[in-house]
Amino acid sequence: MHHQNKVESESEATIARRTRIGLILLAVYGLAYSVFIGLCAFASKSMADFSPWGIPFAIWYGMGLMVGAILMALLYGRLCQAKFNPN
Amino acid sequence: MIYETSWLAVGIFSIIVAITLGLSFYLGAKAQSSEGYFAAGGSIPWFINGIAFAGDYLSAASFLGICGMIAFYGYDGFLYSIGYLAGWVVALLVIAEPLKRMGKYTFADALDSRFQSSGIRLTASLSTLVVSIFYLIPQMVGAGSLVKPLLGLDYWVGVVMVGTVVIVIVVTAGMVSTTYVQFLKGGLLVIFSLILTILILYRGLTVVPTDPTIASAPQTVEVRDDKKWIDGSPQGHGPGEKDLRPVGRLVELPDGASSTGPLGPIAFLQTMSRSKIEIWSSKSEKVDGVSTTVYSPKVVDGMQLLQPGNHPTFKGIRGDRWVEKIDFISLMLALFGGTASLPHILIRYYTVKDQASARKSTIVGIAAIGFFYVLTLYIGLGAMVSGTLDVTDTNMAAPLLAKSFGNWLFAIISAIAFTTVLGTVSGLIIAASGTVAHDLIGGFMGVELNGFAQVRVAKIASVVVGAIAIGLGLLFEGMNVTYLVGWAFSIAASANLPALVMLLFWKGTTKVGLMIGILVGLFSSLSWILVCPDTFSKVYGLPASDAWIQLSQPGIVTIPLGFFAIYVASKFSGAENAKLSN
Repeated sequence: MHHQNKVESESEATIARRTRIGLILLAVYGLAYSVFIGLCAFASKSMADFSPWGIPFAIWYGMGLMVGAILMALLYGRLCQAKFNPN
Repeated sequence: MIYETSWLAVGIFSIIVAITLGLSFYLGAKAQSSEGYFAAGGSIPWFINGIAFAGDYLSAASFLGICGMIAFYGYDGFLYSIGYLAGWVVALLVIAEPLKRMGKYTFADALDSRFQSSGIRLTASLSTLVVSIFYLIPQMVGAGSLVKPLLGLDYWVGVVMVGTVVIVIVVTAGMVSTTYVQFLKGGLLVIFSLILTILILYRGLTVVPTDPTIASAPQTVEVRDDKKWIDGSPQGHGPGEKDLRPVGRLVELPDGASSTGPLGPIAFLQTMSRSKIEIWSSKSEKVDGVSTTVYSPKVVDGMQLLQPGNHPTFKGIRGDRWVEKIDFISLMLALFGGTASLPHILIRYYTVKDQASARKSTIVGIAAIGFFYVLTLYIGLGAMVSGTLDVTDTNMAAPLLAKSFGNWLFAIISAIAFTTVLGTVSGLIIAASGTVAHDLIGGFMGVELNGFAQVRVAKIASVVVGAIAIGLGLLFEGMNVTYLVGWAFSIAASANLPALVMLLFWKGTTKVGLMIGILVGLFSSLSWILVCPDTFSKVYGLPASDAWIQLSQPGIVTIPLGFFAIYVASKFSGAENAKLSN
């Protein structure tokens, strides 16, 4: 069972640029996520000992990753839209 | 605890089911072609698809499981929320648009878009079916387990009801009805989780128990001859009988206050951090056929609960043993890589019209799912100090918390919790039946089917897969199967993710490489699971220390192994076999 690819009319350069943006943002988020996992695994006590404004760092970091994911998604959408929609 | 039938919850759930079935029959006309049945004609608006992502992804494990885990153990449930959401970043930034660009119906379609290989179809279908089954079992078992406390019905009724309703939804209108069921479910889940959170913050925190019968003495549950005994008395509400006491209270507020009044989101967390909270742990043993579990309270600082390492699964990260730390890292890696490679999530990308819509719908999905997961922290912590918890059932934390605000909210939350199963199971069945009809019968076996015939075959496959799902739900009654969801993520991340990423980003990938990679990822992760400590203790009933491999989570080994296998196999299979062309 074979299918035709549904290729949209986008330039290769546009696709390549979006891919680059996506990989850069993924690297940034991946680094933040990795540091979080590393701290939980190897310095879990510090996640509670350090408590800015009375809230454990574990909560701040976890919330930061959550909010960061949403903001990163919006940023990616914005950066892609600038190129994708010429109007 | 004994739960009375909530006819209000049954009524609300019945209304939701009636609406979803009505939608399915109304939309049935749009799903007669293969394009309509498998991909909703590519006509789903991106906002609807985004919320449907949330409805597809957020199962009972997310809502009830995570909230319950936070309610009993604190921060550790939130680790799952973080890992589950992080996976969506991978989906958006790496998978969404390329997958849509390949413009297909199934995961196997995407992998096979450049090779037209029956071998790729077979291996990708195999992976889809294995992941779907591993994911389906806990959903069906969850449906059966929840139906008694939430709706007051027997286990088998829940399993059969969910299976039957989903079969009707999928058979009548395929992906169209599945999408709108998931949209409805996702929307209700986020909205009512927000309402529950607002109520928690408005109520604030108090050291005065809401129910004066709460005491802090240990509670004992014995099971003899399939009957339960509570603190030496038969379980019940009649004379001479006893039931479990609801638990979960705040023992001490900062500065000796008795109550805080309404709190903002930050103030709530600050206050919890500085408070002392009573939590409950359990110890079980089995002697002469009698199983005894003792539930004991202890008071801990809130700061202690709001850091990782309280739950038995994660306790080891506070110790010095490397095995537990690596196990934890392996789990978080599987969650990060698994989301973007779950077949029932991937097929959602084909329901929108173009790549921009795929991107926008993923952004909406991330926003909805992320927002929901933030709320789970407040719902879990609110339940922890609500005085309503059932020590024997962590999954009931969120519904029982809702009950403390009123029976209407309990009924709505219960109905929504049950509907979460419908949404996820619909997606799984359509993914599995699509791969049987489209990839195995049409692609691998080469049976030529026109669009309408394909749809007919897919509908028959849906009934068969749905029946299998019901059978599995009944077979696994009473078993602890929540770990299967984590394994589904590991298998998807080991078999599917390397194939997708290498196909998209390395021109040297060959069809042999893809096939070998999927098979290596699939069988290595499955084999690992069969000999790991979790399986030894929860499935075989043997000591976990006897397991052949002491890591329960295979991802840290099997995910890189999947990538390596594709690389090596592609290099060896060489240029004569359809390298990726520009």
